[in-house]
Amino acid sequence: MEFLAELAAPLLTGLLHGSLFTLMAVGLTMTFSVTRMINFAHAELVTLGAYAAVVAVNNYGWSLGPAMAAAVLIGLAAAVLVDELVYKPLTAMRAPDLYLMVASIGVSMVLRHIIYIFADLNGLLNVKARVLNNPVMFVGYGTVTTVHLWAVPAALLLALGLHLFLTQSLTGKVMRAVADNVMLAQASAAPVARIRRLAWIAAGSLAGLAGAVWAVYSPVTPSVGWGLLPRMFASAIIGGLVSFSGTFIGAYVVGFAENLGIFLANYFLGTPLDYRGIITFLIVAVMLLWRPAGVLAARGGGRW
Amino acid sequence: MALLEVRGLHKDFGGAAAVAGVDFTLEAGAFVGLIGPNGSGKTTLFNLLSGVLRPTRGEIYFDGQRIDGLSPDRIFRLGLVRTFQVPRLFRHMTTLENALLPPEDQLGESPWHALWPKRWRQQELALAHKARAVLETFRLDHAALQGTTELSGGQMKLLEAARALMGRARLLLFDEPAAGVAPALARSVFDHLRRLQRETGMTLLVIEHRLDVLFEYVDDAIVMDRGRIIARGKPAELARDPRVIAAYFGGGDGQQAGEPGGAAGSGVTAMG
Amino acid sequence: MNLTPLIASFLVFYGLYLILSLSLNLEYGYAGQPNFGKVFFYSVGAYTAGAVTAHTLRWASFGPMGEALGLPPVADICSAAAAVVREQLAAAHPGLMAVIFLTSLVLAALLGAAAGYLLSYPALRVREVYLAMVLLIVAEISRSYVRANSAIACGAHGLVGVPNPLLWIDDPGVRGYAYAAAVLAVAGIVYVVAQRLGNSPFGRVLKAVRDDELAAQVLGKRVARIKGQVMAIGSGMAAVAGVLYAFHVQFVGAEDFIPVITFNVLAMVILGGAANHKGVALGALILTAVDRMSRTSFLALFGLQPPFDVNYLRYVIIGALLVVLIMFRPQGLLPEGPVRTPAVEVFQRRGSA
Repeated sequence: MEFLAELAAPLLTGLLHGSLFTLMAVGLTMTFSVTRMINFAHAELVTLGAYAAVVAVNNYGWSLGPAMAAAVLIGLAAAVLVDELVYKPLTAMRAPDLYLMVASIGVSMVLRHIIYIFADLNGLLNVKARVLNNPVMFVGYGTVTTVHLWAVPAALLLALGLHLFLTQSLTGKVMRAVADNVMLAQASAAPVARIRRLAWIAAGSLAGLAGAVWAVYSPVTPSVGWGLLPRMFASAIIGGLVSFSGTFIGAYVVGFAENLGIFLANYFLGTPLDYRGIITFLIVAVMLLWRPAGVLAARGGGRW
Repeated sequence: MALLEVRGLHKDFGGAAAVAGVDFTLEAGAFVGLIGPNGSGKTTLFNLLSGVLRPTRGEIYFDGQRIDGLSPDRIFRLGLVRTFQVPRLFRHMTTLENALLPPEDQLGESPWHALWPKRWRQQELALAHKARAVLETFRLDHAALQGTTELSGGQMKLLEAARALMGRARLLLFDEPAAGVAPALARSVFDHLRRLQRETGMTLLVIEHRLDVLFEYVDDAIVMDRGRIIARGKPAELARDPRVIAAYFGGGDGQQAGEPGGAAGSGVTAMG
Repeated sequence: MNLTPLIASFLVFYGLYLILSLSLNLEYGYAGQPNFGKVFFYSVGAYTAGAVTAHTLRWASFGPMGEALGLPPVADICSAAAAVVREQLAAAHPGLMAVIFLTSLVLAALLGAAAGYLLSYPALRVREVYLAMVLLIVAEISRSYVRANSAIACGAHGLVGVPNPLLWIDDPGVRGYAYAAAVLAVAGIVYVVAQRLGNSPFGRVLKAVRDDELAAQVLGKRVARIKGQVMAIGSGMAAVAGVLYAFHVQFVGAEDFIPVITFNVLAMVILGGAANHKGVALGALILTAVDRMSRTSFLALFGLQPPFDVNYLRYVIIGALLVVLIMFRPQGLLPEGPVRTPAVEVFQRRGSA
């Protein structure tokens, strides 16, 4: 019983992290689908959301709901702006995928360090949102908090919504076609530009939302998103970068591995808890060796 | 013994068979054409023979050795060389660099030896002279030091031919040598191929839609349609073969009624 | 105002960045392999230098060398007392430090090369975007691992007191220039190596793999082996730079090896011109200058005191530079040229005849 009581804490944290990684990584997969580029600056969309929420709550006294809306809007605006200013012109120039990725690294550096400068000037380099993360229920040694009530349903709703969108709506079907082959979709006169815009709006909004939820859960620094980027990458790699359901699975695999997995390894094998990050790396390594195209690749044409 | 032997070769793409049971042999030193309408599986066959694709079923023997499943680079080193229908040149490199890439056993390709230029200088000069001769054949020598992006479409095709001939090919799979090349030059490409075949005993399997040119040169030709070999024979026989004519004109299949039909039409008439 | 330390430090960092950018240029500029975990291989060199120095001098502190100086034997490498003992030993024994320095260089090059070869494995299986992500993850996770485990570089505190091998030179100005000369000499060797590799059939094969991997394979090139080779060479070079860095700052800690260092080097390669060694040397020069001048200590010389940490501003500049270059001048200041082998002469001679 003692073991089960201890198990509850990493289980709940894993569930929370998995949900948050879902919100973050699905956007990464989505923008990869339409640009064939890994957007390193996706990390900063999360950070922007986190800071938007913190500043709205702490400095302007907003309540959490409007603060989260602000975070979503900031993430969305930044995503669309960066696409318009940088990625779209590069795509129009037919720049290689690698160039787009390098540009995204540049964008990421610029955004992150502008946030650093802003935070440094305002004494916000490490800041906790003044929101109570209330315990709702105790399970063994674990606690269900307000953040769980926000994040887990949000991730599940996202998954359900995406599923309905991609399988039921025409736009969603076209988006899958674009993800499968941008060139082909262009040739078939699919509204590529509209799909692309939609992907950036969705990615930015989700990243902003995830950042805001993260800000309630944990202190915020200007590199909060960047620090989470390896987890987002790992989640997306498990999904093979193109599959939303794979990314969804990947996010929970990473979330549980880093909490539940390390707890079990520590409990039974005495593995130090510091090896948390190594587990993520091992997951990525195993994925690349076992099924580089993503965990659902063997299912054939299934993109969702 | 045959240089190339193909047995029961199949390739499926998600249920659709691009190559559906192909058997044939090539004798050493033969000059054979491979014809058929678009989508008949010719290029897929080349991809299978050169290791770019793995067959779903079937066996390929080259010089008695089984090669299906081997990597493309090993197949090349065994002496089976191929070109691509749309030239795959190294875009940011010069014509000369493209031509100098294929030769095997270049000492300077080892990073250790590369550090000592004297060790590989003589070999490099010898290869450069060979490259000059080959590039002259294709009238590309003046463009040797230019980037490949400055070449015309026809020149790119010729450079790919030149590049393939820089390797030590025993069997050369040539995907449309004359496509996009000026007619006079197209004949000189074929002249060159025939000379190579006669002088070095190289075996040639050539895909070509311009049957008028092709049929002047080849000993015999293999006709493919819908992933199968439907006929093989001397050019004169094929031009009269009703199955061949049906495949080119009569199918009524939208895919087949396009461009190659026209080209083949002129070819068959020329033969007749 | 005494500019000597500034100039010496500038020269050292130019040498370090030159090595790093030449190595990334072979991988990214020539072979098209985005090694965005460059900083990991750099850190391997620094950890090697730290470990070789700390363990050798610990051993020395138990023997006659330590006794002669009246030093206590080192029990804990990470302690402040151990750092003092190391400095005293280093100041008294130039020969021992030379051995430590050279051993570190050779060992780091081998370890870096081995790590690079192993990590080229994902490069064989996946596309460039994956490779970039995987190597970035490796670098970030190794950093958090080293920070959490004291065995490699004293954990979060880092290994303090990795004495400069020239510590026996009393005049700090002379010592600074002497060490800078040593770093630049190593960088010079790396430049010649990179230049020769680039202008050889090996360089030609690298470019072919970059331009069209399948075509290179169909023309008989062992793409897997070539990627492994270039990753091993580039990573060995980066590890050598890591050794030189550790002995310069006389400290080894995980927190020094953050991804922006990789991107700074990437900006040098792209600014100067990918696949152009001269260009890369120029790009490294310009951005080393930016790097050294955007430091609080440098700005203080001119009485400037920005209200925020200037390091942030530097990274804004580098990031913006990457974006602008990729959008408007991806070929860099000095564009890529042909591979210069004797074969070119055969055609040039003909042209002039």
